[in-house]
This record gives sequence, structure tokens and C-alpha cells, in this order.
Amino acid sequence: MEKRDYSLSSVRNGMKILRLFTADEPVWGVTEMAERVGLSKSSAHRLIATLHKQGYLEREKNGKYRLGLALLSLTGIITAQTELYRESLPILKELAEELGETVHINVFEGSHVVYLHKVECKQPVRLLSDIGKRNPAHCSSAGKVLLAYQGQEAICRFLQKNELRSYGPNTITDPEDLLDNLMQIKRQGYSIAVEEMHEGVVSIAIPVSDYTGGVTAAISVVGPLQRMTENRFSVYVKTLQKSGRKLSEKLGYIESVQLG
Amino acid sequence: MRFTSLENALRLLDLLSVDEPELGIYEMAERLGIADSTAHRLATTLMSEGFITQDPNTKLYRLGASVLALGHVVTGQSKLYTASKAALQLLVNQSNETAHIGVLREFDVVYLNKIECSHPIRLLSHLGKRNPVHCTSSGQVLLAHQPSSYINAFLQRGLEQYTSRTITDPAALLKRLERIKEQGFSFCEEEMHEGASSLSAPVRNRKGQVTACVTLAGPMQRINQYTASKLVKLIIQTANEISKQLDCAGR
Repeated sequence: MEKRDYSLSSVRNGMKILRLFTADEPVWGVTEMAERVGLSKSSAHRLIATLHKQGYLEREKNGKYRLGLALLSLTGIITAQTELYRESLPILKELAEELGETVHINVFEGSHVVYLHKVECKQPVRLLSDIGKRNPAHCSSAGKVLLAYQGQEAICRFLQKNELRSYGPNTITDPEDLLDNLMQIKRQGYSIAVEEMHEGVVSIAIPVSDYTGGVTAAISVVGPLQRMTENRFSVYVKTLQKSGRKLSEKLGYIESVQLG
Repeated sequence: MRFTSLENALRLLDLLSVDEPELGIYEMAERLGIADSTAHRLATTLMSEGFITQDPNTKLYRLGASVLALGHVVTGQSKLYTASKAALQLLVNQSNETAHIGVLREFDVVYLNKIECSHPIRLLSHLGKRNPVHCTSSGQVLLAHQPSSYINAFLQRGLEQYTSRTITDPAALLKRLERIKEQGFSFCEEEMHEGASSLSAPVRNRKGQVTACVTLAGPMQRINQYTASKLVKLIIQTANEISKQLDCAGR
């Protein structure tokens, strides 16, 4: 128990050390930091060494410290995120309303697809609350669409690194089949996954591009097979593509460069 | 591997990335390989110091305002940031592309400043983002001007492939670095992201050492071999202006 209490205080003290740094007092020596936070010099030294190693503090030539660029990276995350939230949320809300199903905006991370936002539909039966935030890429429509636009090398690396585990009745587990499917997705500009991750569940996704012209996100709609029937797939695709174009434009994508 | 509590706290902050800005306590515990109760204690402590905050409805955690404040301290304090701000803005106005100031940290390039062009958003880079050195124009121009001991140490780490155009052969990279030094700028097309290209020029400190770079990045439709010569002129002008400002600031 004692050890746990100590752990907490070391974190608290580490953060207090960081917060000593201000525009007026941007440079601190070890002794001053220890004094101000109320630590022995050796404890302060240990915490400072950790913060230094992780890039939160940088050491000057005179042995004193200033804040490191790791903090800047955290700042960048906040601002980048706020902008993405702002741009995509209204579009997703409108789309969920129009389709009457749950929609997501997804990005690729490692070998997984992660959704940044989910806007729930107003349907009384939401079968899909158990679908997690992080899903394998090969059996979700968003994952496949993001993978399809990654380029040949990235796809090959993905296939080398990942076993195509079976999740639903229709999961594609053969690498050759997946490659064919990805090529088809790129040609047609959308992907549909019927019962590839969960039985009775359909998802449809389209790519979103940003100012670089590259595909950086995917918008997907997910729902039960009973409601999202095959004869309506083309309607879903068209509606998704409309929203995709709108968001891509907001992200700085130039319309004249057509996808796929 | 065992981590101290502070290390785990910093690892927890690192989990909150651009791709996943919000996480729940169980996810954080799982990713860090620690007990739920430990994660909870870490989160509570970080929250009490303002480094993370919790959404009252979803109970998910995200980075807090303290981080923003400290980020301002970093940029406000940086001579390079201050000396480059005006010139970088001018470059964005002239080129209508997104401009960055890059510096080396260990074996990555980090963006110390970034000014957007009129396109409202970008997903590939953000302030403080760390990028690989060998497949970005910023990394290459900085690497080209490092001592050979640094370059050799870097090459020994291996050159990871990002696209079909990434240079993965050390000899080919060395050749490229030589050319960059001769021509005074670097130009990368699709070496890290398909469809994206960038141009960089070196910034020098008072002693003439290359300590930073100016970078324009954007889609290949706009930054390509046809537009490069005009843009190169602008970034070299900007880089020289920043070098001059740094020189003045140092006096």
C-alpha cells in the first residue's frame, strides 16, 4: 500500500516539475526544482532523468533544463483533433439522420481500424453496441477501404504481419482473395462487408481524402442485415459518397483529382 | 519490462494520439499492461494536475489544458520559433502551401512550427509530430548536413519502407544526401505518403551549422517537378531570412 501511495506522488511531482516552467521562468536547475516542489535533490533527480529521457525536458549546456518537444507533440494532438472533430461531426450527424443507421469516421492505426466518432441512429434496435472502437482491418468495410488505398507495399506488409483471422461467417481469410477484394474496392471506390465481422451485420464504407490527395479516413455505415438489405446497397453507397466528398473538400482535398 | 509510475504516466499521455484522442480506463490499462486500479490511480493523478481531462458523459479521457499551456511555453521560448514566425507566414502567403519548421531530435524530424495554407485541414502532420528522417524532405536536408558519424549511426538503424518510392538502400540515400548538399534543397515525392510531396531548405545558426529546415508539403498535384523551381526559390529565400533573424537574435 505504501508503495502505491509513493507511485502516485512520483507522478504528481513529475507533473508539478513540468508545470514550474512558464514563459517568465523557462529554465530551471535541479536544485531549484527540488526546492520548489519540495523534494530531496536525489528524488528530483530521478524524476527529471525520466522526463528528460522521454523528451519532456531538454538539457542545456549549463546543465539546466527547459521544456522538451514531447510537450509540443501533445499540443499538436489537441489542435489537430479539435479541427477534425469540428469538420466531421456535423457531416456525420446529417448522414446518420439521412440513412437512419449508425455511422462512423475511421482512421487506420497499425493493423487496426479505429473510429474517431460514432453517431448512433435513432432506431430502437441497435444490435451493434458491442462493436468496439478498434477492429481488425481485414473484415470491416472501413478497414478494407483504408487498406485498399494504402498502396501495394503497405498492403503486402499488412498481409505479412497479420493473420487473417475469421470473425464472421464471411470473413476473408485467404490473402489472395483479400488482395482481389481490395483491388475491386479501389476500382469501385467503396467497400461492402456482409457478415465479415459479425453474423447478421453489414457495413459499407467510402474513402475520405485530405489536402495531400491521399486517403486518410473512411466514413462507414453499420447496421443489421434485416434493415440494410442488398437491394438498398447502392442507395447507401451514393449517400455515403456525397458525405465523403463534402468532408474531403473541408479537409482541403481538390475535387479535380478523382479517386479510383 | 518494468516501468516506474512516472514512466507509465508519460506512456499514458503518449497513448492519447491524433488517431485516438480519447480512451477509457480499461483500454489504457490493457495497452500499458498494468492493472485497472493502477491505471485509474495514474489517470486521477494526471487529471488533478490538469494533464488529462475526463468527458463527464462518456467517461473517456483526453489531453487537458495544462498541456496546451506548456506547449505555448515551448514555442514562446524557442529562439527558432520566434525568429521564423514572420518569414514562415510570408512563405505561406506567397506559396499558398502549408509550411513547417523542422528540427532533428535523436533520429527523427520534429515539426516545431506549422502554418496552414488556406486549405482548412491536414491530417498528415501536426505540431510536434515526429517523422522518419530518410523519407521526408525535411529529414533528408537535415541529415545531409550532419557529421558522418551521425549519418552512419542513423544508417545502421535500417531504412524502413513506407511507399514504393522510399529509399531503402543506404548507398542510394548517401548519394541523395550528396546531391541535396550540392543543390541546397531537398525534394521528396511520395517517399512517405502516396500522393504527397515536400520541399525543404536548410536554416543555419550563427556558426553556419544547419540546425533546422523550412519545409513545404502538399499534394503532388501542386508540388511537383513543374512547380518545384518556383517553390524552391521561395523556401531558400525563407530559410536564408530565418538564418539572418537567428543571427540577429544571437547578438
